[in-house]
Amino acid sequence: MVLQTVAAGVPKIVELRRSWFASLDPVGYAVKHQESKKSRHFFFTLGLSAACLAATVGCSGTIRGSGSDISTGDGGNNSNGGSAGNRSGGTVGSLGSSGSRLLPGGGLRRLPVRELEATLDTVFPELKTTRPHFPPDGYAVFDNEQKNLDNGLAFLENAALAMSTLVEQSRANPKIWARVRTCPGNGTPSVCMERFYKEWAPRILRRPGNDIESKAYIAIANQATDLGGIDDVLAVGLEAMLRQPDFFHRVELGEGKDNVRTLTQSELLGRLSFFLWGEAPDDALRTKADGEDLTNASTREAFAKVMLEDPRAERQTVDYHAQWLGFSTMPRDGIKLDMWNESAALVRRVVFEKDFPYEQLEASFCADQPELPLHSPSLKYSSPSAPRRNHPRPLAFSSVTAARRWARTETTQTPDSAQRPPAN
Amino acid sequence: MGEDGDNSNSRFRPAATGKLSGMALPLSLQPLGGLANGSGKYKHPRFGDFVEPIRNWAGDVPDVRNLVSVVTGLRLPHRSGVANASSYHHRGTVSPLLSGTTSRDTSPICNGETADVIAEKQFASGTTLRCLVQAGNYGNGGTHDNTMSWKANATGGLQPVSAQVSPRALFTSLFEGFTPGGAGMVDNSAQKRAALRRESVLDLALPSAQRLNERLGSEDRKRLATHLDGISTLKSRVEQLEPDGTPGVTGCALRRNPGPDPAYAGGTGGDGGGFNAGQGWSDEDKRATAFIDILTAAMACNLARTGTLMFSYTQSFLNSEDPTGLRGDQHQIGHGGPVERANGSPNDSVALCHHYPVRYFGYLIGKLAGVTIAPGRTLLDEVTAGLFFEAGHGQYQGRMNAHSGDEMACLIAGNGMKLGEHIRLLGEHPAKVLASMLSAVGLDAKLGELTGANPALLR
Repeated sequence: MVLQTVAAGVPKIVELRRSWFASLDPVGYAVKHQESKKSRHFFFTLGLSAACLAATVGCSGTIRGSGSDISTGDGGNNSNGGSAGNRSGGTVGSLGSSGSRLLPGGGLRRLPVRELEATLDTVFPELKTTRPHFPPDGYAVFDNEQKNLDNGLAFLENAALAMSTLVEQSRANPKIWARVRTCPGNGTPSVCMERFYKEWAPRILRRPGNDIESKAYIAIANQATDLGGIDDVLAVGLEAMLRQPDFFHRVELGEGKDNVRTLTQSELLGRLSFFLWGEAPDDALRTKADGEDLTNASTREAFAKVMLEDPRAERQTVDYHAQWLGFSTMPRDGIKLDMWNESAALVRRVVFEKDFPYEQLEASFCADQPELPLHSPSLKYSSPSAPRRNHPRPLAFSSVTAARRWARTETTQTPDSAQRPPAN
Repeated sequence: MGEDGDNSNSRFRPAATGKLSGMALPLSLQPLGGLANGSGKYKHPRFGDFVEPIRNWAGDVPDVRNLVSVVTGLRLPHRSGVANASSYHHRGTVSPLLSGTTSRDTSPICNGETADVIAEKQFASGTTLRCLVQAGNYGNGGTHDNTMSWKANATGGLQPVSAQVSPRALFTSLFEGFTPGGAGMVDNSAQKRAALRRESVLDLALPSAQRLNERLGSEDRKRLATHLDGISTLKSRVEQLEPDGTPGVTGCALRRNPGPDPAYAGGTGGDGGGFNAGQGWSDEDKRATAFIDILTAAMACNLARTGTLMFSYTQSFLNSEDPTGLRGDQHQIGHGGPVERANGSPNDSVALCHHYPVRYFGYLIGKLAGVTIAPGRTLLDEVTAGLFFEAGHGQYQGRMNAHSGDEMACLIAGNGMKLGEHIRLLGEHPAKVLASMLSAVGLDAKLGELTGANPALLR
């Protein structure tokens, strides 16, 4: 449905705008299981794909697009990339308001470093500038393509070092540690650990705690003497929680019987948050969701609209487009930084600005290399007729830059065809 | 072992077979003759005294000519339908080279278990350390370009085994709470607490992962399997640190904590991305020396039995300015990239690129030879090591080509191997050298579709 709309052209995209996220029901709540959970496919991120096409449609002058054309994922593992058309192991359901559908992906997807670190910043905002970093993920068009994300020993070694350092930093930060150690001054280690587990499991594991785990955490607390004391016990608890697979992965198992399982409230909230913000739900969002029924479409819509007002939604949108258009890996210095910013600004305008003149994106001048020096006289790209290897991705940049420049002049005139370069 | 169009491969191949010590080393192999600590100084055959522009080189490469052999004349078939062949250059060579199995496509996916995994399984103890001397993917953009290890999974398929890029993470994982040099590995309360803390964290994380695994579908279980394996490995490392659980190991000594990892300097933009000064080189000298120090210590302390190091990726776009002084990426240099050194030729440029891995091979051999494990016996006498390259330099696509599977070469060292020689094995498959290395340390010499050692390589 959405894809046909996109394929039909820009004018219809204009109609989509912000209401995409709600009207497309991107956080469908039901997962239909096929053959013992083997082929679950998620289908909730089409909104951003549509935004992508809107942002870049001017590059070709037409909008190409069956679903498979815009799918860039790895057989459904890409949670940001568009997902449509038939995929291995499943079909795609409608995007209407019906609840049950087959969704690409699986119930377990590792967070890319970008989401992982953004989530750490959400949990430990005080450590934003000092926390450890993870080594970069393997490069792909989209950073969340699961086939490129290490999940094994090397990743765990890095995680062990990072989380251990993070816990040390947390202990040294009174504000953070006050949130960790909320038990009374005379509380026993087990009481403190029980309280910690209950309060922090939803924050870090993105789900409520359970009795089995709680008991295991309390059992560790009983080794307080050997470990050093209450703070040491809590440090173990915090590090252990940060190293559970539930933290590193998005886990969506749902609940229910037979082949149809319904995503839980916390899973739905996680979907919304990762989709719109690129990070786990923060305390404020979780508090806001308390008492709300996110399985209700209108409730989700209201949530989505509020979340889109947050700067994190812009960041996420730009991140996505930077990956899709290939400028995310571009060095950010000198003129390249200007180009990066220029491209990001255009993405923001297209997606978030009211009354953006979409006809600018239909222009056929986007392959116009001479436009780039207008942005900066210091820019020295060779002409489009030069070997492509000398400028691997200039077209995307030139298109957004040219569009941006054009937008700035508020002209609606199509550039003179004489200025157009020959097609590559 | 030269650039496209270069009709000579003598910059890697010594002029004659026989003892290396009695001949002038070709330019590519100069570092084997020894590098003074910090200087990177060696004799250039045409330019005289020459100092490599190594900014952070902290190692010391002794003269290892008597400890290393050069094997040349190897041939990796390119044609389809030929056993053990590569389907294409670059990524297509990985499967036959590392696993002895024919590649099915142009991807770097191996179709059999790689030699390190085979050795790890046959040793049946310890773990394999896999280190990647390159912080990030410098422009390749291909899946598994940085994968050098493939392991069979429970369902009979093959799964990639990732490599570590952080020396500090590897060091911490192996040695935190570890006191080398004696019977007791944990000898004071602070270290005891550190070890207990590590164990407690894993005691909580592992059952949680197992419980999650039980709730997953089969596809997701496969995905989590490597995660579970990883946690188990970390747990076994901690358990090795138990006070009475690890025997004293002579020669077990830590070199130094590597400290903070070098910062990631970003990529180069890939094929045709052009040269970006400062991009595509994240102090890989420091990373390489740190990994080699850790690897040596782990082997000396019985914490690992095998190890693999990968210098850059397949079709590397590593910025070569730091290691060689040439303002270009490695791949473009192979195609006849920049030549900025006075009087140099493009062919010398490729040879200078060889210095980067060759000198680290020399550094590794020097380190292994420096660990005494018994009177008159060093760690090098217990291990076998080899350095392999993605391609050789022979006829390919109608001319002498840096992407050819002909005239491939490698370096070998260690226990059971013939040492200090130039050995020319015309037409031998390079993976046969790996199979011979397995044989040299007492393992079955079977690697994929190849069986048996080449006796010309063995003592």
